[in-house]
Amino acid sequence: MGYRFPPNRLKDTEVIDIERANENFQAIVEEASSNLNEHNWEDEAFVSATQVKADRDIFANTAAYRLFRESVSSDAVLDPQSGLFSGGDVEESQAWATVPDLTKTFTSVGGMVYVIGSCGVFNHVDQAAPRPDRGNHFAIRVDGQVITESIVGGEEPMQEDLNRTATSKLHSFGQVRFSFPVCTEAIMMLAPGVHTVEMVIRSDVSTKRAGINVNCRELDVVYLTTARLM
Amino acid sequence: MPKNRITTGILQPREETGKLLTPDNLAGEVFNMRITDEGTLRSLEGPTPWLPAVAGQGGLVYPSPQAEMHGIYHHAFDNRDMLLLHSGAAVYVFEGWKKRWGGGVPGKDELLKDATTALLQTRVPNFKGVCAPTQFEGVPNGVVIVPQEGRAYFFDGEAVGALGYSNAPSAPVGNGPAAYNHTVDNMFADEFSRVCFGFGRVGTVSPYLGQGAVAAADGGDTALGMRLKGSYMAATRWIDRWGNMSPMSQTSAEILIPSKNSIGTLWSDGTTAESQHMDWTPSHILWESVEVDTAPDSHTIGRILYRTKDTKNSGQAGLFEVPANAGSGALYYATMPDNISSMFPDNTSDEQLLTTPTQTIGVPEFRYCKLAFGVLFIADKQTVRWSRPSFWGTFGENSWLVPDASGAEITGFANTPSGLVVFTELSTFLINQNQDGTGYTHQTLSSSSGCVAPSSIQVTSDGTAIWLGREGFYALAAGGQPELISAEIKTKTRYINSARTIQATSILDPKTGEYRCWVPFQGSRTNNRCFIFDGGSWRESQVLTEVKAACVTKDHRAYTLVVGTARGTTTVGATTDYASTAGVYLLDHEVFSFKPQARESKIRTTWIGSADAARKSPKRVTIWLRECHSSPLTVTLYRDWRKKAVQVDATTVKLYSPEDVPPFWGSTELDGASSWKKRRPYWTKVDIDVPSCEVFSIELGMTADAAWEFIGLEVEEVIHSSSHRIPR
Repeated sequence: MGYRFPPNRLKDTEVIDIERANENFQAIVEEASSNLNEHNWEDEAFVSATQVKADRDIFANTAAYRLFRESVSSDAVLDPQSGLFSGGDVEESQAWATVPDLTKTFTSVGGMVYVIGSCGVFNHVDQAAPRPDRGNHFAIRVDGQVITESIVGGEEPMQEDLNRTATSKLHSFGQVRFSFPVCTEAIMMLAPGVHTVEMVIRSDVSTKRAGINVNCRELDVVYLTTARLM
Repeated sequence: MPKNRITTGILQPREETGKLLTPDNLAGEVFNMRITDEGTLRSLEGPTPWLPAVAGQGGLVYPSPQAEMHGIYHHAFDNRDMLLLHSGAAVYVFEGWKKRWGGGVPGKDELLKDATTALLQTRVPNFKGVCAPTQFEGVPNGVVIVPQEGRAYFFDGEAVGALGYSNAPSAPVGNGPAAYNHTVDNMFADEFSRVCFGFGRVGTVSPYLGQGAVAAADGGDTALGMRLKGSYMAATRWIDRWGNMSPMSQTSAEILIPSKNSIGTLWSDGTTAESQHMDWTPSHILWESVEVDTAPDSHTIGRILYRTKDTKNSGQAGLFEVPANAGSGALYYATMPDNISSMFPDNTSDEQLLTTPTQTIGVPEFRYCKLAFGVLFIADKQTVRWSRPSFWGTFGENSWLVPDASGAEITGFANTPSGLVVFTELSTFLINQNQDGTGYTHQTLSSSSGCVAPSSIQVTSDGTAIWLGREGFYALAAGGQPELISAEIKTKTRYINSARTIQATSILDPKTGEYRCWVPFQGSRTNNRCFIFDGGSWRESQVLTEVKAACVTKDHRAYTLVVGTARGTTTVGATTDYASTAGVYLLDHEVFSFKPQARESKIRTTWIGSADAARKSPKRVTIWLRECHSSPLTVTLYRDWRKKAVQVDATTVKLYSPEDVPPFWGSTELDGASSWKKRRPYWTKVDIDVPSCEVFSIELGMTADAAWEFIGLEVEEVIHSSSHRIPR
């Protein structure tokens, strides 16, 4: 393992000694027998020009030996006229739909990842057709597949900050303006390659209708393992 | 042999002493010599630079850092072969694959330095004054690096960061079904909520409606009840990639949970009251501002959230660990396995809160540490603290003791079979596990002898600890008391620069079992003398100009590496350079590219004849040597307690037998008549003339870049009947 040095330097006028000469060889022979390690090989001595180098590039681009992440986020802009957040409208539907902006496509080195999506959600209804708020499901979807364990759901019975009166107009201040926050998460293994991770939403309605408005939101994919240099 | 002559010997002086009246077989000085496997004394060879110089523009380039050397350490773990060096204001990792000192990972030139080229940009102390060498402690998953100022660091071969945490996160902020728009009976729960989304779990439920509440008409068989008024608080802490936990944050402000009857509005019209299950009344809560750790020197990978149970109804105070939503259960390492998000939706019932938190402190600044009993002991001034097992940067608030009643500062540790030995400058203690295995106790071993140099402490293979104290070197055998083992050489150890003893450094050579300690000697500002203890006797050496720190590789090589300065001639191709160069050196080995400066090696007998009052005249010395080379060996005579040479014979003692001349390197012809043989011992005689002396001493030595090997000597002398004192 590691560097080995001959113990003796043969010097002029020194008596020739078979034992000292053998000692010099012994260290090298011992080492080469089985104990070579990373210090014995020249850097990139075995790196091919293609594959391993590519891995090193990925490694170098993702903050060497540290947790790194892929993320996307969006800050909400409140439209004072409607009381809703621009760009945050989601059509209520029983089908899974991407929470606006919360989709991320990236090239992964593979390994364990932690995905966490969060947003503020407001179920609003048309003033002309008031009704109690509907429930929503939220989940993480990876490459088109909803992660079942990540499904969280909707308006829990005690999310009473929502306006439950006949009118749906935002009429209050503080926490209610952001309706209720949602956070869903999942841990999974990703294969090396290109993946698309999304935070998705579906609503418990029989017919599609406008009714969900999403404000601040973010989606993070955090690697729980560090990439190793080959 | 002429008449009236007697012989003294064969003397085989190996053991150095400074005493006056001693047996003749002792040595007055053994300098730059080592004991071989065959029991002879051979002059020291080496050192060799750990990395050879290379040719560069304008001269040779020495690849080792040239700044002030502070420490070196080797550790082998997890199939890693890690060599660390603290030089100047940076810590380096040896990259054998690049033949350089670097950052240990691609693209980084240092491990620790206040520069973006370092794996961790941080300020590393570069003391010029008096301090101990940088301390390192190898643990099963990495190395604890302890510069002699500021924080300790931890390096696992891939990542480096501060050891543990020195601060705590701020308290989280809670959100729940607060008082806004709250009415006792206005509970929202439509059928879809029931079917699809499950219930909240936070809150205490009572099977009775609140005072004045009236069940709705369509209540039917619904079990009515109410959620009681309650409150919750939380705290958080960070956890890093090595499992170290930060101190806990302050406890958050209360989340007040209002009471709630299980009566709500019908989902279909939003107005008609209906009776609802009391199970629907518990709530969710949300913790916000769960602080992310943004410190560059930490590797936080998660946050643990702690929450109270319902403080108004549970009857239990205190915080409990909140199980992770995304993890694999209550034993998952963190509630939030990331260091990015700041919100945590909490739907954890009180019954799911099982684990109570461990109260830990921030990692204090410390100077010395030692792995023992599976935990890391640190010297926090006068206090000994120990970490949680396997978590070297997590210290429980009650995991400490102060061994010295006077509050003296801890000066070092020794891990022995008897337990962990703890030193102050003037006292020695033994720490062991208590009978329950829940903590540690200590006992006093000595209240008068302690340790003055933390890096002088070594433990031999038989469990004996050896260290440098105020009076000299001490040893502590298993089950014994500290004993001064350098009394024989007190005439030498008294010249150890007591103002700088803290910078002494040592190793224990596992191959020879020798203890070697480099100390500042005779007023030197740097460690310029090495005292060598082989378990019974002392020798001295000075191979390098100065030695700042030393270590032994923890693998089969068992190399002794030192950092310091050596003078010699470096040859690269046709270029040579004679210089005094700082760097990392391997002892006891030599290479062709570096030829150390010729240095003195010698053996001087003690004062022969001191045990009797008769006068004597030594006439001849017979010296047993092993043939080495063609250079001569100097024989010097001293008489009557004076270190003034009375006879120097530099010409007659050859380092080979003239009667059987061996083949020499450089002059023997290839394919000639000579053959490779093992060097053989021989003897030679030297006539000397020291008439009628009281005592005399013989010194054999040479100053050369060549080794010689000594076996023994015999003196022929004439004893005079008269004992008149004749001053000279």
